[in-house]
Amino acid sequence: MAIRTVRYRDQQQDLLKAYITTQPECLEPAVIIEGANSTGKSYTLQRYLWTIRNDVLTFTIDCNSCVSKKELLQRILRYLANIYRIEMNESITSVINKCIGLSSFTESLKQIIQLNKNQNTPKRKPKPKKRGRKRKRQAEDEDEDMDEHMVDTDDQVSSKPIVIVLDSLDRVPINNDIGNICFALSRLHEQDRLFDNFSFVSIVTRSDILDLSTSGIPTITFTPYTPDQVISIISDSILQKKWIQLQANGTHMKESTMKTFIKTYVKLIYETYYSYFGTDIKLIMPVLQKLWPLFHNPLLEAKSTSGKKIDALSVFMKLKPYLTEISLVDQLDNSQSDIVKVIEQKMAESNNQKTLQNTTTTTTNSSIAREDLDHVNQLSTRTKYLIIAAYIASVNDPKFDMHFFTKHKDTRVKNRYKSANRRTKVVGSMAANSRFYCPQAFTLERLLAILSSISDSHDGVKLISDVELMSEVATLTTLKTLVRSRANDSIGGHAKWKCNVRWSIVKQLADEVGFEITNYIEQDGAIS
Amino acid sequence: MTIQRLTNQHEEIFEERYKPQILTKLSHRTTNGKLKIPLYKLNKEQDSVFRIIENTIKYKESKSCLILGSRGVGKTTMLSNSLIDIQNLYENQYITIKLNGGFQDDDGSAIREIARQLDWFLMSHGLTQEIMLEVGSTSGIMARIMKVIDPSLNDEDDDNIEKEGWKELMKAIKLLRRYAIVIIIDEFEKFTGNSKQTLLYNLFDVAQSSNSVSLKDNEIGLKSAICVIGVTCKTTVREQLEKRVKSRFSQRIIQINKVKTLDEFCELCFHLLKIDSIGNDKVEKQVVNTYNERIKQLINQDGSELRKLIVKNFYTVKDIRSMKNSLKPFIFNFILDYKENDDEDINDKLLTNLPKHSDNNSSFKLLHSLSELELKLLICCARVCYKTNLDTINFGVVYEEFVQQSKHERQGLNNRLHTVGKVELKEAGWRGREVAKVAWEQLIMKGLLCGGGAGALVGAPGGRGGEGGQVQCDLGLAEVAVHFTGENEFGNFGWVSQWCKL
Repeated sequence: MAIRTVRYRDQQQDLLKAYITTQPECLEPAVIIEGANSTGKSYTLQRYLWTIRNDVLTFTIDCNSCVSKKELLQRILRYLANIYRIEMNESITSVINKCIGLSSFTESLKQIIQLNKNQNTPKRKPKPKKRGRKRKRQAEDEDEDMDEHMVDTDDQVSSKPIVIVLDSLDRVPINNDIGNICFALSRLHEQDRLFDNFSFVSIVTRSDILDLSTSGIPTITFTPYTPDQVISIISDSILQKKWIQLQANGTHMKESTMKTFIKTYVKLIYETYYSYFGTDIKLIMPVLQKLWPLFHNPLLEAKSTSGKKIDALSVFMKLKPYLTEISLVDQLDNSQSDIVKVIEQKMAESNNQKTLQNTTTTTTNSSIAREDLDHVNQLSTRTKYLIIAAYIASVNDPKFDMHFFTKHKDTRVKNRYKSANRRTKVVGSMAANSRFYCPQAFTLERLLAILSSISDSHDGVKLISDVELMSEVATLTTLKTLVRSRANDSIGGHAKWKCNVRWSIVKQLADEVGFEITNYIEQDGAIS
Repeated sequence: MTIQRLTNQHEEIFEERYKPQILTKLSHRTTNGKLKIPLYKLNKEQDSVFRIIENTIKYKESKSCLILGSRGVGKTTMLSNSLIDIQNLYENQYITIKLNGGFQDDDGSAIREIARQLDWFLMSHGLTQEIMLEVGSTSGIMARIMKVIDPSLNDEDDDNIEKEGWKELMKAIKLLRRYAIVIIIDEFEKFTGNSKQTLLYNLFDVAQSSNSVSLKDNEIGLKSAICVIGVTCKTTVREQLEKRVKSRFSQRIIQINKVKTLDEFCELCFHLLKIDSIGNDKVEKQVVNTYNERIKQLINQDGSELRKLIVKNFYTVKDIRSMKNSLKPFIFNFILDYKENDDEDINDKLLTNLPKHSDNNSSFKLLHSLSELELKLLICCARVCYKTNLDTINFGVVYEEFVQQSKHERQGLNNRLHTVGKVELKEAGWRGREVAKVAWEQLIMKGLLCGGGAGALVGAPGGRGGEGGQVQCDLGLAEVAVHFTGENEFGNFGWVSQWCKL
């Protein structure tokens, strides 16, 4: 029994061994490997192929970068020519370029195999040994010796089974044809005896899209890892001795303690983001790398200052509120953002705020994110009204403005009743309101009208449409609080605006200025 | 029957000599025409195919026939076996041309392929040095092929008689006419797709007309003959033939059916697994007999895993290819020398370790790989589809449902916490729209939301409001709920049933 090299994949490795053998006559002409992302399909296959590398020739084509069937087939031919060590001259390039589809693929393939055979045939003739020649001839002799060496290897090459791995075949943008390619390649050995030692392994996310259930191509399914397995795999992959030593160097920890620390770190971070990443190791690994300094720095600091012992859980508990923030999760898959810096900043800001809160003994019961709170506190009352007006303009349909911002209360009530009636009629078929997809665009005039109306009735101070108001609008635009559509159209007057502030912040602003915003929202139940 | 104690020598012989033989039989490479594979109860059919080809070569009788049968019954293998027999008897007297609808999907490419294979034949036998037939347009190639296969065409009528290379071409054509041509068209139904069916018409026409030409004995050697054999799994293929084509077809059909009874199916499996050739050596005989006996015992013994597998296959798919796929790992790990005192055969246990082949929708297999957020979005998709009776949905609507559902869940949780006097929750899970968009894209990539194409991706150009096009949900609420009941190795999924309730 051969050694199994990949953990938790014993079944799959046994199947690989049975289907992809080193004997050409037992080798399956085609194998499909299916499984969700990050289930170890390519890794397991590559590890297995590595174990049989002396008996089998193999190459992998990443189908993610193939834009068409033609390119995929040509790439197979190019890789094959490379394996046969055929020089890429004009003739071979023209042979490859002639392949424009499956019908010409067999011909090009045959020609390449034939070229390889021809390349080897004359070299098999025994050559007299040439020794003690002049220098002039020396270079030629060396070339010939090299060729002789090549003959042996090439001879082996042409007789060995060739396993061609088509990785991510389902990503080729020729959706309807993938099944056909797969099927045709599985029958390649029937076309000519020259193709007898080829085997194609297709790696796909799901095999049912290929429509090959009756073709009988052996399929190996990779089931998802369980969370425990994921934690174990990640821990083992990062617990390399050198790296551990490096990490333990600047700290007071021993290697064994460091290992435990890292294992706990992996477990805690994985569990924190499990609902977002699932069992996708590829997604979680970069995050672990990104967040590691947040856990490692306290260890370094502890050594330089007090020398007190620190465990991963205590560090995690300190960081937990910041790690689970939505704004941070949004940035997790962004490779360019420096999460560590962001979190450290937030921690510093939070500490400052706490100090301030202690001195002024003000209580705020908001659940708004900290960075939003900061911005909110800095705004003037008029700007707050401006944002509130923008939000109302974004959410409400213009036809209801009349009812909300007019003094004819009867009309308002009546129409409200009507609109409520209308709404109840469509309940049951769940009216998909387009207002909730994204904020509605509004004109500047409408915004100013609403602003004028709400500030008149609540602030008591009449709004003056001055330059300052316009500059405030411009400032909010720069801060992306208001977003202007058709940015290039500065003359046409078609510019429209959108409010880019969420409900929780607007509610906070409204509460601060004592404005009952819910009275002015058309359907407040659906917003938040 | 008492089984003799086996030694290491027996095991070695089995591993080195016989195991590869069985694995070769179980491989899908049996159709390559290298080895003759014994087929179960197909001798009659194989014989008739052999005779058709033999008559073409021996008596220059042009023939055409169709081999019908579902996938995996042994059509192509049977044909390969016949060709191996023919090769042994009539070497260098015929040319085999193989076409496959999977590769050559139209008449043009098939015609070119015929020309290419004839050119390869000429060059590989040293008859010509350069490409003679596959030059120029498809119609020109067809004309040249027709000259090869149809001797009734007069060479002197050719318009290209003055052209350079004409003499060489005619020489090559005359050389080819000495050989009988066996044209095998696999996936035959693919060539019936176009309205004219030019290729089939020409081939069947030649096969029919040249048959009717009576020649003297001394002319037989110079007459070309073709045999057209179509292989297909579509039983209705004859009806798909155009009227003119159908009338030229010989109507000779060889139908291969699947085995009808379980006993026959068991026999077939035994036929696949048994060792056919027995050496002269006493040890070898012992090995073969022991192995064959053991396999027979496992197949016929009630309750054995092998028998269970066979019965399951018979009553579900009755597919010998799928059976081969399961049996190959079994034989690969098969140990001849198992301990005699054991109650159970350890080889039988090998089958229990095999992954269970389920022919279900792959979406079910992918469900456990989803993150919580992805799963929640998927459930929301199913909810929206169910509520609105819509076939297609978009991200906006689903996200709205997701928010509502999260809110509802949080309220429920808060109520319970309030009852027990605990602090209320303020936030419930991830609610960032950007995060949800990523999860949405993942669902599309995994094929759980389909029919969207490139435009379905969130933020794709042309998508509605920058939030993607319309997609269809592949799963229903009940289907999702069935797969997540309580706690399992993947975690606690008690919430799924709540989300799946309307």
